[in-house]
Amino acid sequence: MAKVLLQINHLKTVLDSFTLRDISFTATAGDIIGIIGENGSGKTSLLKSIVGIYPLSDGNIHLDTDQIGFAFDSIPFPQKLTIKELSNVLKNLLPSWQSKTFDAYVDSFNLPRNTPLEKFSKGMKMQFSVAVTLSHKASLLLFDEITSGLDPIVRNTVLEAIKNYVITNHAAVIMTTHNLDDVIKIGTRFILLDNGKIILERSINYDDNATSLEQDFVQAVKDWGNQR
Amino acid sequence: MNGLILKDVYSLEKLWFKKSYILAALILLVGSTIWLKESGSIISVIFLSMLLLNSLQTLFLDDSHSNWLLFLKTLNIPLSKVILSRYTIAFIISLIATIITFATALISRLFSSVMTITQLFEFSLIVLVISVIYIFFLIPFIYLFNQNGLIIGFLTIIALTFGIFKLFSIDALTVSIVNTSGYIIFLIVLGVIILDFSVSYAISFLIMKKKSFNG
Repeated sequence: MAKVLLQINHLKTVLDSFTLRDISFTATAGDIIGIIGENGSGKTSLLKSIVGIYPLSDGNIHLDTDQIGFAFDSIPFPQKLTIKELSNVLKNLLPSWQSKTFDAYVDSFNLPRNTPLEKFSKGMKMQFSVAVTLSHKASLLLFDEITSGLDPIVRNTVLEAIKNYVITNHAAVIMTTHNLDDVIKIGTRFILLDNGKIILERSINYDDNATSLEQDFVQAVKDWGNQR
Repeated sequence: MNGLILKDVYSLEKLWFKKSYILAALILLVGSTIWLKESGSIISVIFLSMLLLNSLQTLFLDDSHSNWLLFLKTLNIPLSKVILSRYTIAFIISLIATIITFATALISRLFSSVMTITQLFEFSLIVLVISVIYIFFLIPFIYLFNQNGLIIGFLTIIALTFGIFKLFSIDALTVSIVNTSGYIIFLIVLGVIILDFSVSYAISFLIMKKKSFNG
């Protein structure tokens, strides 16, 4: 049986104008869970609650690992620094930093090592962020809309890298996205959030496609509206 | 903690090592040394040191703009280390400012030797002590007020200085310093620096625990 890396029980997070409520799910090794929902449905807030950026108001989160990788929707690094410099910083910051792995990702994504990040395109910044997240032996990876703004070729490369990492390292991924193709391509499961609550959760089937998922989501939102 | 310090060193390197800045600083120092002699060059270098010290604020602004602190939180880097690294960098900047002051004063001695070498060392030591006390005092203000922290902190220092001068006469203070042995003065200065650091660090820690590091 696959190892449970994350277990969330009845999570409640109260923010200024928004509440995540009664969120329960588990992530086991090998899982790639897509968190889907409209803007403001609580996707990013859920990820930030998992890593403790937002304090819980109720419920609990059990993490079976302290090796967590978080890729934000915008890169959290000083923009004037280069990849070469940041690699030195991260090598000295994280005992689990894998320089060779990181170099391999930088090469495969064709990222320039001596150019300041501020001169990178959005796609290059996201690739860099993914390369960092995949290079410190994290068992649980959280990706916040990392594929938005990527062209289809780069998106495929990034998604493949994530999928391979999960298989090789027995890790679990939770990724928020607006792109249903991302979930179809590498996801094993998806969770649909609406107004801070899970309204649909199921595995990805072989015959699923973006259209069938979209129909499921529309139906789930309608059913949830009727229940309320 | 080395990684945190290294990141700040790289950031400062990008900020300071610009051809235009270095050229302007050199013109200022050489010009003031030639035309205003030793005292003029010392005043210029003190202004330059203030600029270096105040540039610490850019590191705080960079951190808040880039979500660097949130990234560190996701990696379970202790807040105590994050803050201690910033104090270490503040000390390093103070040291650099002192070295520049010493070097400038040493060079200006070639044109007019108002100060002896011993006085030069004493002067540099005073610059280091004042720089360290000043920058440690400012850090909690920058943590609390972000981009306004420097101004608010600076105004507080001015108000405190006026307050001290109002309470104690400058002449009496000078006389008591002159009459105190060097060893006692050293211990008092060391005590003040340790107290300044301890209080400043504790306040910064509490501010950050309550503020951005908790989202």
